[in-house]
Amino acid sequence: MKSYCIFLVAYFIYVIPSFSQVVNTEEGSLETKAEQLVSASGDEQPDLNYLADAWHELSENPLNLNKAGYDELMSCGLFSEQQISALLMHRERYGKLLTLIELLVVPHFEAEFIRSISALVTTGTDIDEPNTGLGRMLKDGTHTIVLRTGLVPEQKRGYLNEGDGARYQGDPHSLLVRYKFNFMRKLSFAFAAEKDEGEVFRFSKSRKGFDFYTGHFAIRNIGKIRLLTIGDYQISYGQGLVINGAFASGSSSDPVSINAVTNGIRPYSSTGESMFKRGIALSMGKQKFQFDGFLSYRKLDANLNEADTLSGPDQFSSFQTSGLHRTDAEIQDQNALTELLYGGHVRYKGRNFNFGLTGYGSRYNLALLRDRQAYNQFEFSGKHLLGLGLNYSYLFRNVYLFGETAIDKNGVPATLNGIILSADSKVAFSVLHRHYPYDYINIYSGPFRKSSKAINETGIYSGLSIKPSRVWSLLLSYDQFRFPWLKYRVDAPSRGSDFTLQLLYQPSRNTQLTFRFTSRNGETGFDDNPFLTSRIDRTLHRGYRIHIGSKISKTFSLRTRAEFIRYRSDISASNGFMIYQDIHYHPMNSRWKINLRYVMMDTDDYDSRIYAYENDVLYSFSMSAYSDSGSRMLFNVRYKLSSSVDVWFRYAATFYNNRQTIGSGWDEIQGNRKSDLTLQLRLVL
Amino acid sequence: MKQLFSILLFGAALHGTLYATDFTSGHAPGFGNVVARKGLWSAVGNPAGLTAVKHLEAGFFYRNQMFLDELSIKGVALAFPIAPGTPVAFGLQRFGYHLYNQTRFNCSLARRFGEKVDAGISFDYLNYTFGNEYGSVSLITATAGLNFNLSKQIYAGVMLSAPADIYTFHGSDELLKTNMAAAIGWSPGSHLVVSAGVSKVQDQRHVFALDIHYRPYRRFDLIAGISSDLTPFYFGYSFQLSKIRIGMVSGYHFQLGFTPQITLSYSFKNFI
Repeated sequence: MKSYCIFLVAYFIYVIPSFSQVVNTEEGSLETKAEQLVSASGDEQPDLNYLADAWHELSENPLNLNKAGYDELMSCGLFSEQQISALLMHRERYGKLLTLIELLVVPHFEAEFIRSISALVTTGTDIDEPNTGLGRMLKDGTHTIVLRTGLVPEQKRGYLNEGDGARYQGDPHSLLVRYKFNFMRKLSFAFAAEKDEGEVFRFSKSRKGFDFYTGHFAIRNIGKIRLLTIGDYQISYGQGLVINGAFASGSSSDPVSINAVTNGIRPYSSTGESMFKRGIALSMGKQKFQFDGFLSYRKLDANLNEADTLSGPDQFSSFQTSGLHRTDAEIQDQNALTELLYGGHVRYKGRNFNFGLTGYGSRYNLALLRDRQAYNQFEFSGKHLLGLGLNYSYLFRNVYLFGETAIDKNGVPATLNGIILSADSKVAFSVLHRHYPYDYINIYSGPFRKSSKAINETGIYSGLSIKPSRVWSLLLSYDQFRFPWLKYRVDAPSRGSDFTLQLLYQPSRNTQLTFRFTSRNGETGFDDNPFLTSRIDRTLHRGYRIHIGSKISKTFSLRTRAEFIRYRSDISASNGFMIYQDIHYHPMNSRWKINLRYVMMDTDDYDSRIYAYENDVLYSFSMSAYSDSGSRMLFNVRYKLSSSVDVWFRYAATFYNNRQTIGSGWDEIQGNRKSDLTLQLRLVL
Repeated sequence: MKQLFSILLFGAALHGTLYATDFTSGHAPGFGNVVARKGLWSAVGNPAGLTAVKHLEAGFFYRNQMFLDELSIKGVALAFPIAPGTPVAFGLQRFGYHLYNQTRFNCSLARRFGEKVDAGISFDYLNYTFGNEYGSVSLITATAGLNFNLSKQIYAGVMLSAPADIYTFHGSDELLKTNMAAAIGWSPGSHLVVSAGVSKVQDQRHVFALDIHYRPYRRFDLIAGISSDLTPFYFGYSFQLSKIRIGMVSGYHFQLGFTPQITLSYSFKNFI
């Protein structure tokens, strides 16, 4: 078999240069995933910067497929359970991979997938002595320093002095300073300080310079310690039904890969101010068993209830997750609440199956007392939370079963179960059922779902992937769900369905054509109910997209997209249209890298808005919701000053045809133009 | 208990054609893309699919829609070749209960024309019975179908039933509804078929369906699919015991619940 592999390597050797010349690059895959997350998330925007961090960390420290174990392969988020099992079995049987090409003979690995991850993995023989001393690690590791500033040149209303002083306490600049050290995934520590626009930068008794600080120290694979993290970290286990710090949306860009890829404990140093824990986390174990424990004690932003004779001073009405502290009210909410979180996870990993048990407890110094209405009467209130869940996965030939069942402090169960079937090398399909009762209480969960919280939802999702030939792919998904209880602004049980059809045509490695159709049926409430009694407004949202990507030469790539949205409800109708053209200038071995985009959009209202990913500076993500009538231009350039120093500059501006003001409230801008500037410097030592 | 029964029973016959029938149209696809199926149950579907019948076969099915006896459908079918590539079939279906029911009896003939095209025609006798005192009405109509074997892996089917304007009963201006359906199937191997199709009953909305038939083992099949009609999800299995094939399938609707169906087929020679 080994000689067969060597033959295969030799036979396919001609494709190696093509791995660096693909249209669907690492960034393209990241873009697809981000668009899918944002499009499915609705009003709750995910922390995409965390996703960018994780992705770029992987590109800077590619995963060694010959050394990574199950946990590392799972935690990187690139591989499905079937692929991981197949790879580990291949290594066990035939030894180490000689090159990435050898993955072609491993089941569940296709050429297109291997190309898309080629920049993120390696089979090289890096030096990784298990007993490397701390001094050696510090000497040979990589130091990265990032400095970033941003500005919206147009003045927002919040900066104007309207008699009682400007509302935003700080200046319009955003600032980020970040330092990270990493030695071959074994030792890392990071520190970041950030200030959003409008926030104050000042050293005083009450202010310590930047608005937000984060950092961690993490060490891996020391004896039985798999990972020790001190500082900020994220935790996610199983299908995310018990605890999931990362964002989980309703569906993946691949309709068949619907099982959650959770990383366990992950050191954190991104700029999302609410999506992490702070304390200590430890993962231990070897071979089949793994034991994790975590303890977190941190301050959170919260809306405090006013002290009065009825509600008292020891209560808050809601969590604040925006991370913004610009106005007096936002500053008052900053760090108003203390959270203590503790828990653990035990996992047993067999050859083809996994079982995991996760539990947690949390306590707040103040009690949550919501403004009780019919729709939220079952949601969490009080000071304490408990949760316990059991997750499993089982791989039998070409069938993968997975799921998780959890209970809350009141014993209310929630469950999620799914199956992925690779019926053929060209056909795979998946089904997932979820049931989250309306009185299931868990604010840390993040499983597969349609709404912003994992409560009050029951649904069945099915996905189908057909690849009849090398150049054609057809992806389909259908999700039907219902909400048995009321929701915010929806005064009755409601339901909906989502259908997505995506047709991909890739006649060559340099050209890709995608057609996508989406149809979403839903039910919502009215902003201003014109009727005397409560009513449900049925909505229909249809989207048609054509996307063409083409690498026209060694230095230039083009991307064109046209998208049409049709929105209908019982009382309104709107259409939206968007078209953009990207030009990418990426010559190999050049100091320059330039991205240009020009967009024209015309939507009737916000309901027919269109989302699209935009290139941004490194480590940053940008997703725009194009709405109203106008145009947008984007200029993004990277210049490599030296082998250690990179500079990024980004300018984007939107021009509206029919507006005299943009935005609302303190973010309102006079005029019809809104732009933003970003400047970033990176130093790698 | 009903739900548990349905979950335990769920399955489908690979050759089974499953109907949620609106008899005023003569035919209306139910679970899956009926028009693209081939075999015994084309006797109550697209008659062109009968060309797959090589030996004498007989079968029975029973569907209990939303566990309501008043909406149940049952049927029998018999098919046998009278010449190579030319089978004849008879089918009988009944829907409803004693206060309202529909009965359909049909006689079908199919023929293979070369490697690429199969054609079939069915003559249908329809009877509607309205309660104890309102009598009944009978009609005769027809169904025609074609199957195209476009390649070794791809085939397509079209079907048209009640094509002519026929009044449902004397003195009425209500016409028997015409039904059209088309589907395309793809089979990368003998173990897998994926099909997609659309059907349209006159004056009603289009119904789209997508299903997948998978044969992990020689005598065991799985089916799953989605559609835009009354049963948006359906799933099931079938297995073979010697000359008998037993299939069970269930459709599911969030509000209306399960629609289970059982199918029994017997071949006077082995299926496989």
